[in-house]
Amino acid sequence: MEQLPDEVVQLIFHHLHSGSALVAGSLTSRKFRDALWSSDPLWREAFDHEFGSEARDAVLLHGTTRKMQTTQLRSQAQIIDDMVWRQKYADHKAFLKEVDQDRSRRIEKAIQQMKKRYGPRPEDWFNLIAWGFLSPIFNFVAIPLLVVLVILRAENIITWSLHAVLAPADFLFLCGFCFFGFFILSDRHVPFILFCVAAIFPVASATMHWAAARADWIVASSGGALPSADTPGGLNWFYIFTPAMVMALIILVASARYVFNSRHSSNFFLVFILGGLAPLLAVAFLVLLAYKLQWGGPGFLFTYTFIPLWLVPVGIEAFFTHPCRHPIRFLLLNLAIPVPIAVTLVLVALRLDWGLVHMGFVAIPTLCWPVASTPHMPIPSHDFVAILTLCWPVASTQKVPLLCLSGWGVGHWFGRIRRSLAQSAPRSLTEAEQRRIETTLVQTYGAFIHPPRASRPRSAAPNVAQLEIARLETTEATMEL
Amino acid sequence: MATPAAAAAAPAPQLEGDIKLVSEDAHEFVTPKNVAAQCKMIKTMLEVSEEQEFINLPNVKGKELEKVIEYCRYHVQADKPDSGVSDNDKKTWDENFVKVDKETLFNLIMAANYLDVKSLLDLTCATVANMLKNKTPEEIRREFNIKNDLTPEEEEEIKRESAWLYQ
Repeated sequence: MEQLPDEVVQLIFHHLHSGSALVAGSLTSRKFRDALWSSDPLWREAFDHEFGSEARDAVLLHGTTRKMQTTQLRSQAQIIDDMVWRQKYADHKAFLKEVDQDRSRRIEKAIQQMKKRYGPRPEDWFNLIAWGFLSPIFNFVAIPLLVVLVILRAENIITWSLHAVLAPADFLFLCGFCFFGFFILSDRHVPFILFCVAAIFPVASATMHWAAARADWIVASSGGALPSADTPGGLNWFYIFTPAMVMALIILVASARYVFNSRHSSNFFLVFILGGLAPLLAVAFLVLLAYKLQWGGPGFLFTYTFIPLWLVPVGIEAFFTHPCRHPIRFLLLNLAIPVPIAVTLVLVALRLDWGLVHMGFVAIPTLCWPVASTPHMPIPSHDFVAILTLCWPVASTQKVPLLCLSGWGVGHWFGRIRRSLAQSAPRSLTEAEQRRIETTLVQTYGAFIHPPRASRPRSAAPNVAQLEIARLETTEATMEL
Repeated sequence: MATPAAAAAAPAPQLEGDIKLVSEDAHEFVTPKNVAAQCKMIKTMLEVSEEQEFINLPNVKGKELEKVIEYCRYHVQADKPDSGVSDNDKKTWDENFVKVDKETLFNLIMAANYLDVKSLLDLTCATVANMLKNKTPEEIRREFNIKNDLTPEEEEEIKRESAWLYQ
């Protein structure tokens, strides 16, 4: 047989129509190998025998004609093989997609059934009542009433038992602290440590007042009449740094909460910069500015500059975390009510000749608060800041009109109601519940939901086609990401 | 098994008379020219010079030449429209015709290849192919007494090149 010419050897194997026989022949001897490897039609027929002429048609459709004409058939067969597997892979993916869709439908159905069966969770009812009913009443009625009492100089009646120990400002701080605590306790996502840190405020305030009394200087700021270095006691670093440092601490903790809270950690840098770094830089800047301009009194520093500066980045962050991130819709949703209110308040402030500082104080929180109170942005520390925003000037000047609080209250109320409405909407399943349903479904429909990988016609062995499939999978995964 | 359909489909040479075919070992076979013309090589030679009385075939031994002439004669007769020979009959005859020892078979292949008798070449090659079917390289070597001169690296290369057949 070894004397047979190459073309005869090829003819013999041509009659076999078998790729495996071709390989067997190639492995017989060097002569056979050379004879068989030099025959493209032989391998082409073997390919047809292995994969069918449809596969080759499919390959031609895939545009490898030129390659088929210019390369050796063994290489072509490899290319064709890849293409065939690619086609098989595409079919397999389509099948899996179909299965996934069916799986999603089943899961969705199960979710709906679960919702019908279990209804809202107790926390939902609590949130609905706390956020949607009690909170607006508390904000809109209790706080203004409290402030009215302060304005009417009734604080002695209320704080008679505390008066000997705490100044009126401290009392309001304490009220704010309690109010803040209410919000903290009603928000299951707030870490307890924030509540503990918040306790620093009345302590810091009391310490500050104690130190001020020792220095024979009482925090006194009035609307427009800013304390200066000429104020008895002079510019004291203690008064500048104490509230600033306390606030910085609060901001740090709050920022840490954002960062470590999974709901806000999708964009770490955004959260870190807007939620933590920017306010801290603002504080540092203001402290330096206050020192340079010889401003005095923590009241001014704290109330009129820091709060708006903090609320603005919070509003920006709210934009990025808001479910509706389209700028126009976002503005319409969040500013439709607050803007007219803010404009009205500013006009009233102009009419009453309040001055720019108070106007800013009125307008900016009104604008920012509803934004900051989105369902995706429950920030109890904002409540605390809001309380401080209100209490400090009220306590220090006792001249802030009630309208100012009403504006803030309306804005706050608007945000709270919207938030409570959102929270009372059909809740989404928790991750654990979702997983449990999926597990059940997988157990029930396991064979159908997770079929084995596309059954291959022959035993699997790593080859170029498989590598190609792996590459395709990686590419698809990257694209999905 | 291949049938001599191809030969039948080919236009019969309009040759008359006989011609003497001389094998490598000096055996002489007188055969009608139209039978000899079944061999493409002989046909070409006859077309060039119809007056030839004998043709030397130095690459074909007498035994194989006799078989080739037998094959050609049968198919010339059987392929005639009025022969009454069915395809099954031809197939059976072909199968019996190639029931020979391996040496003769390979000599027949060589002869059919040399004389360019396509149908006979197909028939003999198909017979060998049947003998190769489902055999490993080692079995093929043993069957046909082939010496393996491939190095392990070359064998590995063949396997690597042919991986697509073994997924």
